[in-house]
Amino acid sequence: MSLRHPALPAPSRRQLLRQTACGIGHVAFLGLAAEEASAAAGTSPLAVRPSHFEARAKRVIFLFMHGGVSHVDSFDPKPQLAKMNGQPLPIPKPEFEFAATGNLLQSPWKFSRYGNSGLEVSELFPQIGSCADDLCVIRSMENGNQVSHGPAALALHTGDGVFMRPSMGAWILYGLGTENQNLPGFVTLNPSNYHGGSQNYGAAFLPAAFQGTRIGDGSTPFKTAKFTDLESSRPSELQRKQLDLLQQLNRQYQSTRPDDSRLEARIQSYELTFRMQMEAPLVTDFSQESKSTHKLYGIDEEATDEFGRLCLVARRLSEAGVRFVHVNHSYPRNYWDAHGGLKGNHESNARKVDQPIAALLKDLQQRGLWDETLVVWGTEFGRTPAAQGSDGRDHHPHAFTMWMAGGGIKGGMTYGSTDEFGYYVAEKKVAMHDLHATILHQMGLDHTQLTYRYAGRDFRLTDVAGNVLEDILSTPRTI
Amino acid sequence: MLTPYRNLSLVLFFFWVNSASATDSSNEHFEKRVRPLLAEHCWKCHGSEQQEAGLRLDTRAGIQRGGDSGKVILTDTPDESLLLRAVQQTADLKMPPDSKLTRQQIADLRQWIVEGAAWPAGDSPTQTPAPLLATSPLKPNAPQLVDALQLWLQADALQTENESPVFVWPDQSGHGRDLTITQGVRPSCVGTAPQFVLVSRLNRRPAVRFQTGNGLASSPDLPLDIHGDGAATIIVVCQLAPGHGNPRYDNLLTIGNPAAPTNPGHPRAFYLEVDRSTSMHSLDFAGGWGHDANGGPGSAELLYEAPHVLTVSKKPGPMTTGTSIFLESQPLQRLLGHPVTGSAATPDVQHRNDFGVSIGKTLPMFGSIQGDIGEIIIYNRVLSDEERQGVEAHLVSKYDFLTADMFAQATREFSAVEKAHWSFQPIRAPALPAITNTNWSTHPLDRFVLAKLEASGLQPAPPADRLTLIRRATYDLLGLPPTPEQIETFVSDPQATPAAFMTLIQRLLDSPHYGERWARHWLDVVRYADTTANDGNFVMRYAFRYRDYVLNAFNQDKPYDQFVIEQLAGDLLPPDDDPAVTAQRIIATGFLMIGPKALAETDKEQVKMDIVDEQLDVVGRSMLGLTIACARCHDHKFDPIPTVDYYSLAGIFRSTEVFSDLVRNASKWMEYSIPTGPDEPMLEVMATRDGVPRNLRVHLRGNRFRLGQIAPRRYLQLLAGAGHSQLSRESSGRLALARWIASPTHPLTARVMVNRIWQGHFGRGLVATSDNFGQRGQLPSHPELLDWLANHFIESNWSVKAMHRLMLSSQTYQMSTQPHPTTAAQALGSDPENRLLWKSLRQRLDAEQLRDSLLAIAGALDTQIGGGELISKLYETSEILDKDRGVASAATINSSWEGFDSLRRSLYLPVVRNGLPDGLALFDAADPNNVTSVRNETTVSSQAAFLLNNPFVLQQARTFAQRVMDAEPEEKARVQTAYTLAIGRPATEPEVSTAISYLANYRELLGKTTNETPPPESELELWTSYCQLLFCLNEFLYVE
Repeated sequence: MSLRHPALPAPSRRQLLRQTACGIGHVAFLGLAAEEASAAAGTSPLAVRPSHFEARAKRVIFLFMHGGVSHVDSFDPKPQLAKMNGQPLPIPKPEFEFAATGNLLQSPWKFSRYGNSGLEVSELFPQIGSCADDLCVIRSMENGNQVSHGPAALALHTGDGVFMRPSMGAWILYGLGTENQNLPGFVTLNPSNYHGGSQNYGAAFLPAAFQGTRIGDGSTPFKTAKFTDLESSRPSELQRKQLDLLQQLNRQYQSTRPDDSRLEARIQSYELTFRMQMEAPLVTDFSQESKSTHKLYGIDEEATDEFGRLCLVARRLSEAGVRFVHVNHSYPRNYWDAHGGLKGNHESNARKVDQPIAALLKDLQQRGLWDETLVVWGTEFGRTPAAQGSDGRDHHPHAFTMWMAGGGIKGGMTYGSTDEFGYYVAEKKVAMHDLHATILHQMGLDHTQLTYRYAGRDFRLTDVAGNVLEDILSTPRTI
Repeated sequence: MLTPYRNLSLVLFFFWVNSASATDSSNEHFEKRVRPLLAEHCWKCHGSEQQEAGLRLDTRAGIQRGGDSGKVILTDTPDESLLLRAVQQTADLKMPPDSKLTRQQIADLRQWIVEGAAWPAGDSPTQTPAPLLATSPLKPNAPQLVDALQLWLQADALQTENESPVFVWPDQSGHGRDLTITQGVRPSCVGTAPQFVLVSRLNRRPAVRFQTGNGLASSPDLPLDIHGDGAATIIVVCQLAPGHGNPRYDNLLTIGNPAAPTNPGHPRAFYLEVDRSTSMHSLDFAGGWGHDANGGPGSAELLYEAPHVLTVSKKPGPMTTGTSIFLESQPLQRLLGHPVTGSAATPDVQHRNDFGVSIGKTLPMFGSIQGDIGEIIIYNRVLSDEERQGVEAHLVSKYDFLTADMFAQATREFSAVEKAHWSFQPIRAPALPAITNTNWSTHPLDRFVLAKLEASGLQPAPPADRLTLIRRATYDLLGLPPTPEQIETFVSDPQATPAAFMTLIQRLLDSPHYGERWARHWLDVVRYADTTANDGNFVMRYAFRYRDYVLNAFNQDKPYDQFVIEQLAGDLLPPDDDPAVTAQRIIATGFLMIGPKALAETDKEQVKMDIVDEQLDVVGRSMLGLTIACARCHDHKFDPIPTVDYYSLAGIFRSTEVFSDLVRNASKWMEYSIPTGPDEPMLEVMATRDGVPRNLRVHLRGNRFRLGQIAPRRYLQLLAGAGHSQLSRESSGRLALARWIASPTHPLTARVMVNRIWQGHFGRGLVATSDNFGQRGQLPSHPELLDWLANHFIESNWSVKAMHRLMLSSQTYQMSTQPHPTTAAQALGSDPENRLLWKSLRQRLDAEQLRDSLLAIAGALDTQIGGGELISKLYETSEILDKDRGVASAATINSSWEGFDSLRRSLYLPVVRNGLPDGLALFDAADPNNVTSVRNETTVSSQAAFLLNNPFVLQQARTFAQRVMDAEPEEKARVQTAYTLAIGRPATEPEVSTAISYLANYRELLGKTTNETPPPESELELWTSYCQLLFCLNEFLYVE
């Protein structure tokens, strides 16, 4: 970006002095919200920043299906697989495969047409199917030659499978800041430690303020997960007492060092933490949500409880102004990686997420959040249309499916296609950089302008590539 | 086969493809139509100032030579010219990048190429080098060639011990024409077995070595499909030695039925041989007796000097007109027929039932050629030029050939602007500048600073007091807070402050904790970690030996030049008398090993190239202050680092082994055992080894499947200067590179390191971008001072400690953070970022200083130095996947791993990529996935949350509280002790009374009155809350 970003190191002392001369310390004492004060001071890296152009969406909810969901068993029906079940693939297999595969394997699931659009969805996802008219199903995703989970997941989240790059959420936070200064701007729910791990929600060389704040991890049930270090270590009035003296001493120290804006920012950060300790538990505690909402998300039902909780928290965070929520259905407890036993694996995983995801979509609509919330459902790669072993499918980055909904995306459509076997993209290939460019565009960011200078060059989420998928936008592209 | 002749006037020479002759009208077309459009649309990036992708379109030489992608104009097939395709924008490459030429312009350009691409005078005519240099490699059995492939012998396919006899050389053409010593040859002609040589004269590649009696032949049952006046292409990779004595015909290869002198005029075979029947060594391709295509006197000697790719191509018809012979794609001009008869008769190849193809000794009158053969490929047709050059290019790469032409092709010229960049100039020896105020300091460093201040009308800040100085210096050099005793000693030192301060500095430099602090700086830069990142995040069990090597290097004040050489090439240095010293040098190459690795990647060559890239990035940014890795896909956008230079350096590292095993999904990096002393056990280390030296080809746009020209292993051309030749072919060149970098005449190395030391003390380098001294880096604020320091560094035998003493003894270092009152406002206005150094910068404790301070202040710090216990613990608590090979995945380790609660210094916590402990990650610790030269400094609420609520912080606060309570019975004294421990000064009276009233209030809130004796746990909680509060003070978090 061309403007100096508040999070960049070494802000101009002159600029800060001028602001100090206007008396921001005083403003803070007048009781204005701390985020406004710190935004005025140019010291909060998370202060709201203007978008490059009018945004279609204010927030993103990214539903990450870890392990690789089979496209030919979910959103990309291939009758030819049934016709040629057990026969060899008549076209060459890709140069890069994860493991050897055998002959073609038909899908164990039937596909049905849903809604006015007649969008085809398999019986794995009947509830998501019921939202078909809201979905834009991209059938022509390709993730390079990333046949392993780690590089593939990194490419999906950061645009690069090998080198350390900031994650999509970090870029968006860097570009736009966040609306609610009492909550983190980028929250990741139950992320896996594997396959990129924290790099999938990391800031890499962007300032650490833009990294995702984690609640839970893939290894433990979400029911008990909390924000790290946001539970007060002592009763509130005792901590307040402690903070009062702390702030008194810190102000005393600051009074002889008025030109150092960091000191003021740090004083504010303790107050902010104190408030976040109040607000954060409220967001993650949804006991006040209605019975029908609990039921909608499938909370307390055995299969759907976990992902229902994740989706409901995602909605609550989003509603509270969190810019980017990353929802993980992830390893080791949940994993789509069906090298064998495809039927059991995908049925079990689909049962866990189908209802909660549909609930999230419907809930966003009924709360009027639909247009300003971009929902992205994705996976690091698809699965081979040819069998692995007798009843499994291997990793397949050469063609697979993701979908987007809400946030200025057209519903009830498919975009792109694969060949008759689902092996390769036939039309309108969508690379990760294209997906990222489109997401940034909906957030009002021009992916070619959102840059950060590091190691002597300007980095982008989309590197030197990326095309906005104009055909799926409900209003014409801005740039 | 040649009979004796005496015509010595014929000489062999190479010929060049002549550039197309230009007619007047095409000159006019060029001048009117073509030159202007080239000038307008191309020269900005492909002209005299810049040569993007190695291409110059403003000279005849440049346009004919082409760029990294190869030739750009093909006058024989104009429509395939890259230049034309690029401007038509139909292929990947679209030019100009931001617009498109008009249809007419494209037509003009095409016409110019069709007419021969004339370039009128005014620019000297040049020769076009052989097209091999930029041809895309083609495997011998590529789809378009496989039908014609008749025989394919590769020495590297032999599964044989070094120096063992080769009884069978298997054919890989698919026809099963294996060569053996027993079949096909009549008993009187049986050769003996040649020898397999693992490291041959063919650039150390495997080869089969023939002596004069050796011979192999294929089965007569499977004759080659080359008959009569059949076409053939024979490609041989070999280096020969001169033959001696009789017989005087040294056979390389025979196809068909060898004829005898008794039936001249009845050819039955092709021979490829060295004819010594005169005293000349001529290379001869004969279609039977008296039917010759002879290279002429001395032509075989070319094959004695160096390894070559020799190609013989024969189309139907007489020998001289039907045969072409090439060395590295360069044709031998004017092949002679039979010198006596002049015969160039048409051959008539026949197979008899006792002959197929033979190599070496065939008949009693033939000896074998002597020398090394790496590969023989025979086709039964004439390959097109493109096909032939493709196969030759493949072999040139495989056998690492490098001709003078290739070297010249890779050599660049740089513009005056590029050469003039400040950091590429030799380090100067600036005189001390004149100053007005001679009272402030006599220190030479201060004179440079003061001169700049005076020029701006500014005054330096007053000196800091002793309490500030000891806290500043102790954190700077040890990364720990001074103890109350140390403070007392320094404050009460009767010497004058400068002398007392030097005493203090010397004590700090002698402390073993000094190395812990300064190793951390270096480990940031070299992206140190104990796990591999990516999929498996495998534990690198012996990486910590490198960490300890760095620690010891700083503590022992190892000269920096030696430090550089050992890290880059310690394994290649001659062994020291002391095996422990040798071991340390080998361990030092952990520098190249500790980067992130994508081990699960299926494309293993890609894995290796990504590691090379990562190594180049680290070497460039850590030691040279250059972002070399930017040149992987295209010429560096800002600095004079062409892509070919990137691949020249990459060749050095690609010739270095970092893997011991590349089995899929469980690739293992290099680890091996080394001795450390006569009675010492062997030590397992993670270190490099030299591999097979090879030159890489430029990977066009970084894509390893699109190869361009050869990049000879060498240094950065601009810095190495003209006349820099290729590095030794005997090794990777890594040691030579290390010595070049560590040379006192290198313009960057010393400057970059003194700047890092400066940054470590002053919070910001004289060059603020301490890993980028290129065009996009910042200019030095004090260029003369930088050079003066660099010189001083080299003159002090690259002693880092000498630099610390020098810098810390200056008044500049000892200034207060509060500016001089008379010029404070002016300074803040004119130089708000304090580039001129009119005061000291207040620095926040970094992540490790903070964590270590919590432990030190609590009295809980374990001060043991070095060792790998925590790494062993990490390994054992990771998921062990392969015990025998030591593969364990740390993917389950996250920030809450119990090992991170260790009481040892942060330096010793295992660095788990993507799993740093919260306390370090939150406070901007270096992300070990990449080079960190300057850490970010953020102020975010999660830091406050950590200090207020994190269990580790609470635990240290509690221990701190207990320490204070144990030390002093009385509250006021406790407050004083706590203050001195935490922030290095006693509390003021108001501070003490504020504390006392806080304690009283808090105690009350806890439900206790001051009258009663509270239960001990409440008292501890009370003091814990107070001690924790001190950890949250800005006065604690920031160092003045």
